[in-house]
Amino acid sequence: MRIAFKNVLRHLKRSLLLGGAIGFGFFVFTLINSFTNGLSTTVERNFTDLFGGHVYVTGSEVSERGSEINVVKDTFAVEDAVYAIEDKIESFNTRSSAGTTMVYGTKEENQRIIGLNFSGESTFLETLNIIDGSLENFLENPNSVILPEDTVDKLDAIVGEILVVRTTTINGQQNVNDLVVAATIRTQEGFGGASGYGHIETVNQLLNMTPDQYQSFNIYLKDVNDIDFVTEELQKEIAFFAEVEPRAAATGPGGAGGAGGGARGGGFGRGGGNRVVPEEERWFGTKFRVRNLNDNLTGIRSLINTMDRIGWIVFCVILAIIMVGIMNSYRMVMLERTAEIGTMRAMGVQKGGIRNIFIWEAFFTALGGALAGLLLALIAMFIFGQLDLSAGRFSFFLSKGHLQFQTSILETARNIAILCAMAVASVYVPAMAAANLKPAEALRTSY
Amino acid sequence: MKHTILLLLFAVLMMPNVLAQDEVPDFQEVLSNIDRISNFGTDISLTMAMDIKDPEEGDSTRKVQQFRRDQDDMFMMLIQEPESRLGQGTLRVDDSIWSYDPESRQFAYRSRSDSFEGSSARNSDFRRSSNAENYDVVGHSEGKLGNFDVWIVELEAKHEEVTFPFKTITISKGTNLILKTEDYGLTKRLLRTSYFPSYTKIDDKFIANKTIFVDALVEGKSTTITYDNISASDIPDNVFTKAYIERVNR
Repeated sequence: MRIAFKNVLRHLKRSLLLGGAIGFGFFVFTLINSFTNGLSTTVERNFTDLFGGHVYVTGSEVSERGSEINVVKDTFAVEDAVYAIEDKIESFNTRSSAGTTMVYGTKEENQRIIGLNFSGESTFLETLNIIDGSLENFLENPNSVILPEDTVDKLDAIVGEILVVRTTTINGQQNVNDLVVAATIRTQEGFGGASGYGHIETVNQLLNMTPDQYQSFNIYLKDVNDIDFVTEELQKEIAFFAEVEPRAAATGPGGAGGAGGGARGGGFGRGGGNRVVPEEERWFGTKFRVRNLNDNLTGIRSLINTMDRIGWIVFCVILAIIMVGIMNSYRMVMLERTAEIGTMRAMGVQKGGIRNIFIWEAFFTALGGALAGLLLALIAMFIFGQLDLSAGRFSFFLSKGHLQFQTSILETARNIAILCAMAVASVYVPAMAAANLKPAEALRTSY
Repeated sequence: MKHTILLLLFAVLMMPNVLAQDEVPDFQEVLSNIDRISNFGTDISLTMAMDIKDPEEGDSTRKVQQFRRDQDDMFMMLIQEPESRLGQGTLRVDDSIWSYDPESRQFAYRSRSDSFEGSSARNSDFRRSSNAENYDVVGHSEGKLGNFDVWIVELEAKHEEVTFPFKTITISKGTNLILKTEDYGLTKRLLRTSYFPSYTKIDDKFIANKTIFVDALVEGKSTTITYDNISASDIPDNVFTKAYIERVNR
C-alpha cells in the first residue's frame, strides 16, 4: 500500500490528470444530486407552508337554494376524528381563503388572502421573507394583511396604507372592508401565484363566515412518511360522523384543488363560483374531502425524479469514461514498469503483491479525485447558495430566495465507495496482467 | 282663540304639501310589477355595445351578442369584438354560469357576482329581473331624479345568494321603471351606482336600452352598455347550450 501511495505521488502529472477526470465527474454528480435533494426538500416545505400542513380536510355544504358552499361548519366531525391519530400529529391549524380585489386610489389588483389561525401555526410566519414592515404590526392589528411586494408595488401603496378590499362571500355576495398593509413579503411566484396573509377572523368576516368556522383543517405530521396512513385513517374516522368524498374523487381533477387551481384557491375546495348541485346529488350538513401533500406534489416529484435520474445517467457515463481511461492508463503503466515488476518479482515479491500495488494505486487516485471533486462541489454549492435569486420567477423552488443544496453524508460515502470500487474493477485486468508477468522475461524486457 | 287661528293657518299652509303626497304604494307589489314588465314571455336577442372606462387600464370597447330566455332564466353571450376576444362566451343554464375560452377550448364555472369582461357589470346583471323574489322592501322615501318624481326604495336580500345584499332603487312614479340603483356590499358600503336613462318598449314589456354602471370604489371607472337590434323572435333551443358555443368557434 505504501509503495502504491508513493507511486501515485511519483507520477504526479499522470495522477493529477486521471484524478482530475474522476474529480470532475464526481463534482458534477454531487452537485446535481445535492441540487435535486435540496429542491425536493424546498418544494415540499414550500408546499407544506402554502397549504398549511401535510394533510388537509376541506368541506362543503349545500345551501337551501341548492348551491355548493365551501365551508366547514360541522367542525366537531374533524376535531373528533383527529383524536384517533393524535399521536402522529405535530400540530394542526385552520385556514380560510378569499379571492379579493384590492383597491388603492384608482388602482386595482387581484390578490388571494389566506386567513391564518396563529395559535395553530405560530412558526409559519417565521418562514415568510419579510421585505418591509414587521410581523408585530400584523399580529397587533387584526384588520391588517401581509401582502406580496409585487401587489403593493402595483397598487403604488406602502406599508401602513389602508386598502379597500373587495371580495365575494362564500354564498356569492359582494363584500368590502378596509385592511391595513402591515408588511410586504418577497413575492413567491408559481403554482397559482403569490398569496397574502390575514387573520382568519378578518378573512371569515369578508367571506361572511363566523370566527369559529373555516374552509380547511390542516395537519402537520411528526413523520411525513405517515402521510398516506394518516390520510386513510382520517378518512375513515370522519366517515363515522359525516359524509366523506371517496379518495379517488377527492384527488381527481377539480377535487384535489391541488397544485394548480388549488394553490390559487389555497386548497380550500373547488374554487370558481357556487355550483348548483342537482337535486338528486344534494347532501345534508358538511361533506368532507381529505387530501394530502402527495396529491399536490405528483407533478413536481416526477420532475425532481427525472432530474435525479439525469444526474445518475451523467454519473454513469462519466464513470464509464473514467473506467476506460483508468484501464488504458494502467495498461501503459504496466508496460512502463515491466522491468521494475521483474526486479520486484526477482526480489521475492509475490504475484498478489504486484496486483495489489496496481489496485491500491487506482484506489488512491480515485479516492483523491473523488475527495477533490466533493470539495469543489461543496465550494460551488456554497457560492450558488449565497446568490439571491428571489427576484426571479422561480422563487417557489427557493428557500427564502436562495437555492438550497442538500448533501447526505451516507449517500456521498456510498457514491465514493462506488467510484473507488469501479476504479479498482477497471484496473483489475492490467493488475492481473502485471502480476502474471514472468520475472526473467520481465527483467529482459525493455521498451 | 289665538291658538286655534294659528293652527288653522298652519293647516292651510301645509295643505298643498299634504295634497302633493302620493299615496304610498305596496312596494313589494311594485317590485313584482317591475319584474313582470322587464321579463319577456318570448325569447329576446340583442346586440350590446360595452364602453368600459378604466382610469388605469384605459378605455376599451366590447361588442356582444346576447340571447335571453327569461322564462327559463337562461342567457347566452358571445363576444364579437374586439378580434382578440372573438368567440368567448358566457352561458347561464340550469342555474349555473359558464364561461368558454376558445383558445383552451375549456368551460369554466363562474360566479354570478363575477365581473363581466373586467367591466363594472356583473354576470347577474344580464339575467332576468327577480327583485320581488330576492329582496324585501325595508324603507322608502320620495324624491326627484332630474325631472322625474321618484320613489326611493331600500331593499334587503331575502337570502344570501344574491350579488348585492342591500340595494336602493329609484323608481319613476309614472312608469314604475327603475331609473337608478345603488348596490351595497355586506358591510353596507356603496359598491356601485347604476343608471337606466332610457327604455325601449316591446309590446307591453320594457328593456333598458342604455345602462351606465359607475364603480363607487374606483374613481373614474364605469361601464356604459347600449343595447341595439333588439328582437323578440324565437331562438332555437340549441343556442342555450355549451355545444353551440363550441360549434360557433369551429
